[in-house]
Amino acid sequence: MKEAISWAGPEWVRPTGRRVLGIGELAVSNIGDTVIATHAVGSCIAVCIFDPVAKVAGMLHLLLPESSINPERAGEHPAVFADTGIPLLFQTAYGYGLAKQRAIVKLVGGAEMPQTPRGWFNTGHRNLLAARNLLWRNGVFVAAEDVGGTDARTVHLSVGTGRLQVFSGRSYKEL
Amino acid sequence: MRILIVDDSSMMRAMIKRVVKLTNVPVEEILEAGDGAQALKLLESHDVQVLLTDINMPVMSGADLLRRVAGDDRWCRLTRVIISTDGSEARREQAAGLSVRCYLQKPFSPEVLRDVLTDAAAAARL
Amino acid sequence: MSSPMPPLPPDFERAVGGAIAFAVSTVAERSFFACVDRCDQPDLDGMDADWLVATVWFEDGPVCGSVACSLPTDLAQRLFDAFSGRDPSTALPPRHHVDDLVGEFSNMVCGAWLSRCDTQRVFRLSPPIVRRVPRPADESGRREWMIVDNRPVAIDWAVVQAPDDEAAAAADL
Repeated sequence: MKEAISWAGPEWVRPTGRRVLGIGELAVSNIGDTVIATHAVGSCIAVCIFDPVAKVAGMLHLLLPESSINPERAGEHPAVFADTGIPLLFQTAYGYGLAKQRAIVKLVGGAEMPQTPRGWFNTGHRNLLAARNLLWRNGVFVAAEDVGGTDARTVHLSVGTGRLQVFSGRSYKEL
Repeated sequence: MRILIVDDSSMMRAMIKRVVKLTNVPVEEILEAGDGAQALKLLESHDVQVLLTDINMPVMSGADLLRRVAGDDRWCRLTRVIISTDGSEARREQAAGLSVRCYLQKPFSPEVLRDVLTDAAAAARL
Repeated sequence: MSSPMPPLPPDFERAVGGAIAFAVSTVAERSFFACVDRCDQPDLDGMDADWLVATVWFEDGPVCGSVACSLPTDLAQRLFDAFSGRDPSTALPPRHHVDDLVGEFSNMVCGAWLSRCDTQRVFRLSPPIVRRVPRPADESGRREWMIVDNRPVAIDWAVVQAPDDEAAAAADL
């Protein structure tokens, strides 16, 4: 089995067991003791996928719903948008043996942040609807979600087990 | 297992059919009808285990269909699910008296329908 | 068969605007993954798309009325794709499929609205009638404007409660 981690983001960093995603980045891994993590999931959505048979896990930290608002940026950083990032997440995971019909998909984020700049009203909600739309279009159900509210979240996904931990300022839960 | 979907909207039937195919339940055949009268003909000619029906339909409503089904011993083991825009308490009380296993109000997410189908399929296998 | 009908809740009509908006939001988000906002009269000048109008009539003895949802055809196509899971890069669906979908949208809005306003009545809904028009008719009754996925949608509604003698006749139909 090939051991590797795919990284779609501005920099390549040598795997060290804990992979931290930034906004507009995704990662897929089949290294059993790796944890894929991301912070500051406010109005963004963290799309987390796991195949319990192939032991492949992936995470996307998307920022905006539709790439049509900035096709040039989508071409350079597809993981920023739901409609380009989600297909890329799955395509990358397929390369590691993830099977769509076995994929367990969970969504985290979509909060309405009080400090969101003017003109970005309802972004969290729009991101969530866009993610659900993309997944339904591709015949994928959402197994669980921790979305909405007004708190940013931190997400940890264990590659070997698919364990998903969600931390926010006031709470912790396993999804 | 054979499923019968009854709704006068062909697009709603198509959406339900898609969820059935994506859900991990063993389905031999999916039948469709646009009203209660068509559904009765299919029930009489096919061995159906799960019935998913809307309420407001032309020719014969889902309520009349369910009354006919409830009154016929041939279909005593048929698992019945209502999928309807009508969410009134009065209608739900009617449904309770017609051996309906689940009342799913439109609109619904694909995941909720999946859960209803999984439950109905499990009941049908008992 | 005729029987005494319970009166409408006293603030029924005053609450309709909010209930309509809630119904459209619930339907659009849950089954069509579309974002909804309320708005005042939008500017329709410059919109060259045709519109689809889907009307559903409802009745429960003496209480009857209608809901008509008008939306531009490009929004109708978008909602079709979202509901059916169609990949937008594939061939366009037949027109009657999109019409059917808009009819079902209106059906769901009507049902969600009535269910929220009065849970004790059992309304019968007609099959939707769908027409294509150049733009929504001038407002002649009660109308709510919504923005669904950045496109305007008009919801026209009417409710009538017949007097007691007409109610008895209507119940016999």
